[in-house]
Amino acid sequence: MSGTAGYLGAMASISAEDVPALYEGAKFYSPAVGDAGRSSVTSWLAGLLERNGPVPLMRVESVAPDTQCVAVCVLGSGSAMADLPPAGDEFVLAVRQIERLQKVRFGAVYPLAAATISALVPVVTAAQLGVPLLDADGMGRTFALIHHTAMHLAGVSPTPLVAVGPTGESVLVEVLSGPRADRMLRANVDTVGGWAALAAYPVDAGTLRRAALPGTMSRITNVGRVLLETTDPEALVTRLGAITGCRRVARGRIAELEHLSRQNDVTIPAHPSSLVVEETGGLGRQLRIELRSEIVAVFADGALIAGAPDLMCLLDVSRGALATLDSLEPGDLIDVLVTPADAVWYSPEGMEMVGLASHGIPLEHPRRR
Amino acid sequence: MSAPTIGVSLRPERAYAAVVHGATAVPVEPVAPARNDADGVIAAAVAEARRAAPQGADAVTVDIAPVLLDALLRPDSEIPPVAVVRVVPRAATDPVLAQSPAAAVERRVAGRWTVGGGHDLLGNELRPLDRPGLARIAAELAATGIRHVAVVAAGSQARPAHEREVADAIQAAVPGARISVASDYGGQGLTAREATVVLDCALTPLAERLLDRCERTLARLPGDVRLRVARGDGGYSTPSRIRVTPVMAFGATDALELCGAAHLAGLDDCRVLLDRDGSPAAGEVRHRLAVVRLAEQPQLGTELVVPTAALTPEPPGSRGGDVPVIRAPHDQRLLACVGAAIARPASWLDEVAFIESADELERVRRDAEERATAMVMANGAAPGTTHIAEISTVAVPYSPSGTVRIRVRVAGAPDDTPAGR
Amino acid sequence: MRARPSTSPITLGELARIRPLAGAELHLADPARTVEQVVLAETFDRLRHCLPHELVVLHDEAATGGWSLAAALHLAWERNLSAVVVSRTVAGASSAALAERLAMSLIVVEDDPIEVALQLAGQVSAPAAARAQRQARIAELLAEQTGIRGVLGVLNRELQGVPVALVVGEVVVAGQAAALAERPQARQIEVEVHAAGERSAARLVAAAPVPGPAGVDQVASLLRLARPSLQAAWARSRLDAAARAAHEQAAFGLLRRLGDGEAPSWTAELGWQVGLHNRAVWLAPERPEGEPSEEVTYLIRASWQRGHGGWPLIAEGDGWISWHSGPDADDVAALRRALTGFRDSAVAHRLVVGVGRAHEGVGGLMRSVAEARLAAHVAREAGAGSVQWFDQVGAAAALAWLPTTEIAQVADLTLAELMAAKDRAPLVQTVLAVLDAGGSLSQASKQLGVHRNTVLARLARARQLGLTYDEPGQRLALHVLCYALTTLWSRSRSGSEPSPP
Repeated sequence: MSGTAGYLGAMASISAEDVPALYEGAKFYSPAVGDAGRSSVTSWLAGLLERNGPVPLMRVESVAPDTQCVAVCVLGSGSAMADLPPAGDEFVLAVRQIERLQKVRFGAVYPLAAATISALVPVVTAAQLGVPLLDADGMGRTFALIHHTAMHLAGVSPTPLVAVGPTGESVLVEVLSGPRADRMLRANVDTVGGWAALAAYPVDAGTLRRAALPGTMSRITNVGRVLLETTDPEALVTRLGAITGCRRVARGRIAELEHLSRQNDVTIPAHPSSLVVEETGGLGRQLRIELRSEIVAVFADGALIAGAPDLMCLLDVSRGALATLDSLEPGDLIDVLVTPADAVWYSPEGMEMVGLASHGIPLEHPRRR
Repeated sequence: MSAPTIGVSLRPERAYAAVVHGATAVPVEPVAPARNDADGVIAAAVAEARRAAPQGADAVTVDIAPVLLDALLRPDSEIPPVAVVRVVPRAATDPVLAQSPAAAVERRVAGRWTVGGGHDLLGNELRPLDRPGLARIAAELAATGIRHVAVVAAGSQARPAHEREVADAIQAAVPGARISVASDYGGQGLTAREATVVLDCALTPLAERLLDRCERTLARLPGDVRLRVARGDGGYSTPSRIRVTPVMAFGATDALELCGAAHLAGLDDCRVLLDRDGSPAAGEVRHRLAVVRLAEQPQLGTELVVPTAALTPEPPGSRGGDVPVIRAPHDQRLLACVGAAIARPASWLDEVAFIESADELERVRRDAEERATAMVMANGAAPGTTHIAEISTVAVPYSPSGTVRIRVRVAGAPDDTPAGR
Repeated sequence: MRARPSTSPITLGELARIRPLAGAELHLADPARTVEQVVLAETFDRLRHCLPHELVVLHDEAATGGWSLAAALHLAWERNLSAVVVSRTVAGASSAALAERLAMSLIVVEDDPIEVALQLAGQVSAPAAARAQRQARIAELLAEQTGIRGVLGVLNRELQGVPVALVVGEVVVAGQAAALAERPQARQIEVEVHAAGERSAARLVAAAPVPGPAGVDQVASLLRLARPSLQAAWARSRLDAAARAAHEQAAFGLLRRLGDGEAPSWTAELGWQVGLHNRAVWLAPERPEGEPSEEVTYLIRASWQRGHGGWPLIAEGDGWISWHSGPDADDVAALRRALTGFRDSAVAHRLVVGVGRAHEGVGGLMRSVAEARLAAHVAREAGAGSVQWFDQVGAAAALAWLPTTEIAQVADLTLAELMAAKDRAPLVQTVLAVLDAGGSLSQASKQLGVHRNTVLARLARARQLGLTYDEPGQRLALHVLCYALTTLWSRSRSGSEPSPP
């Protein structure tokens, strides 16, 4: 599966030159947010890597099993973060609070979700703390809630966790069961400005060897390099297919955007909406792409052809670049790409947590049929 | 047939013009001893238009973007220093986050201050405005002698109260200051919004000089020829609007060249390949309007919140598409002139709103459409000629359920009535 | 074909005509598709177990948004169901597009889907009852109609895909002419509509496609259902029409006496338009037989006013006057459409049509009427159904209007020698040709197809016999005379035996 494919060309460190590729690749694994904050966050990271030197990127197996590790990510919306950029110390403050609480010193940082801006902030944090970054993460993409992780499936608790907002305010959460943490956090995230720096899942490296998805940071950098190499959509699809296992299921023009198109479950961010796409070649099918914060399902003439936990993203054919969900417009010509997610998500436990049914679509997954 | 129109492209080295009358587009070349600067070229173009039709041209649309860009990138240009005041809950702790990621923007910044305050995207206050801090900063700023001030507050698109209060305080402390506030532009992203107001401040004197000169030239010439200014999205606005928001004229050339090429090819929808430093770069035209988006300006190194035609490097070999592809065969300076001559009044709006039902979405959309329509009329469109060229509403990912981003683009036809002049 | 109540499965088309589906938004791929059972599907699992020809009503989990409808349409297509019924809250424009793409019938309802499903289930399990219910509803609708058009409108609406027309003789008086067209897969059904004291019986004709959404026996029973309403409407409109015809005739006489000037306000009350550019039409029998009967006037009115209800029709002499007013004198599109629509009736009633030029005002209208009348005389030469525009015939129309018989009698008295000659016909014809050609012998010889010398010889003989065509004072009189004689002789030659239509 893609987990092993991603280990092709694993890297030993991340330097300022890798930042553009890291950013693009992170977008492939979560095409949620546009580029409004791109230059701000990439120059912040590049500046840190130039001043503090490259961040070592280590396989989980190559750090001592008793090394204490902590996951970081951006909680909330990337557009909120673009509009209210970090002061710069939020992630370190969050990590330090857990250190004080647990009276430990973290020897490594790892991404909670190696996708979107959440793939860049662990590098920032590692550079600021002067510790290595682990080449592994909890999702291999992004899911909506913070317990949607391989660590949670492996029995690792997300708490104690700390969220620090751009206002400098923070919240510490300790819960008895993982799924309650997200519910307690959401209201706080809105209060501190729509996003927060999250430090969570403090755990030793030995546990992470079986609980995290390996190689995911190297993978997004490789994907990013492909995306920066060419804007020819044909070449892109072929090359991306070779390293991620993705395939193009259709090409078409966006005809319509529908909102509140499914029953709304307010515990999950972003309301359901849909994209109606007229296939331009092939059978001229009508595609229906169901969105939440990510693409959750693709129907062709009413037949389900892909769905969560598959990773689905859109390639803007005329620009030869990824289309982000907040910048779609009727008339855009897009390729619909489907990539298999990490195998753990197709297990019964994984499917129950992040599968189609969790989005209110009670249909059997096409990979199961 | 309606009157001929004139498109003028002001470049650092000289000016170019074309007269478009119906399907014909004629390049204009001043004959020596006439000069090939703005005055000479506009005079030659007005004369050429009279030859094309006895009534002569009724408008000149001028693209000032190349001169603006050149002045920004040239270290020795006479661009005034700009002070930046950010209104955010906390000052940046990292030097990179404290400044603009774009060197061309940062070079114009002579001083930076942060005032505690700001709102979130939905208008909730994140921190009360730090009024003692503001008073201190206003006094410091006045002492520097800087007269151009850019103010950007977090969340001012949703609630501009803090931004306005800061602007008022600075105006009081620095009489005669030229202040640009980010809430005039809406848009997303503090970096992009800040870069937009910095450029706006920095370009004001230059834009005024250029437009004054064009208007003086036209006043000397026979006939009643109006001046219009091309916008980044390929539409046009009035000189008085561009004087107060010069950044709207920034980056117009790409969109004009796309529209000019499509016009000469007689196509409403197409993909256009332009030459950019020897390599092909592609853009699209849909319904006779250039496809524009908010993208990083390659020469600046940052995004702005005014849309431009984002060109994409075209890889060798054709790509699968369902629209015709045209390789711009003409002198691209002529394309920009043709694009300017056929430009229409335009407006664009990009906002975040919160909806709880389909009815509310409909109301929010209608409201945005009405405001964008009012804007396009202010930019010179005749009442009744406006139409919604594009509208999209998308759910903002990872935001509270019901948060939508709305973008509206409206185009119109010129107002030829005496009242519209 | 009567009586036996149909127990064949009910069709989608039939269901769509009765509550609760009547009034729903219909996207029917095939109205003739039968419905054997109704299923209320709450889950996709239930949908997966549906059988062909079932109609499925989506509910609950199976109706949670656009995607669920798209998935349901796909499943319905896979399982060959008859139709999918869904609540309005779920369906969007793209759903209808997908239904069309999959050729799956989609019905969007406002009411509670459970309620709809229950009612449909009842209708499908007892088709005869459902049909009776439908007939009762149609009877009610028919009873509300007071005009022939209204009755035909109800029939054509209710019998979608089955054109119905009211026919007198071969003329379609109301409804859709397609009912008479011979089609391979349609069966014609006729019901006579008798009215007291009628000479010609009217018939209701329907062309029911076989197989079609409505059974032949159902169509027949519907037509019979319409008969009483139609007879009443027929009688009433005859009465109304007779009164109106008399009223209009009197009004037009008054208008004519007014001469030139503003159109009086009462013209508007009659629905007439006068004052703009008026172009008159004269409908005349190919062969005048005196004043037409009221009944004929009624029929002509019915067919002339089909689709042009506002146009006047005034019986005058042996024909009928109508006219069209418009802001643009050259815009004859509406008139051409009316004439094309009237063609079959004109042939059936053996009428010809003359059209005047457009003139302004009341005086202009009268002038156009005169021109139309002249043009109609020319049209007679081309036989029944032909149309002649005065714009095209001009003075030739004036000549055609001459009382040729009387002029010929003058010739008998004044040109006795010529009239006694055996070769009088070619002589008169030659003189006419020379006069028509303005005295040019070569043109005349070309037109007659004889040698120039022959023309010369005939002219010399004609002069000897008294046809002194070269005397300026006599030229006009002789030209008219020659025309009259030529016309008379040619008519008696070709007109001795009326040619069949």
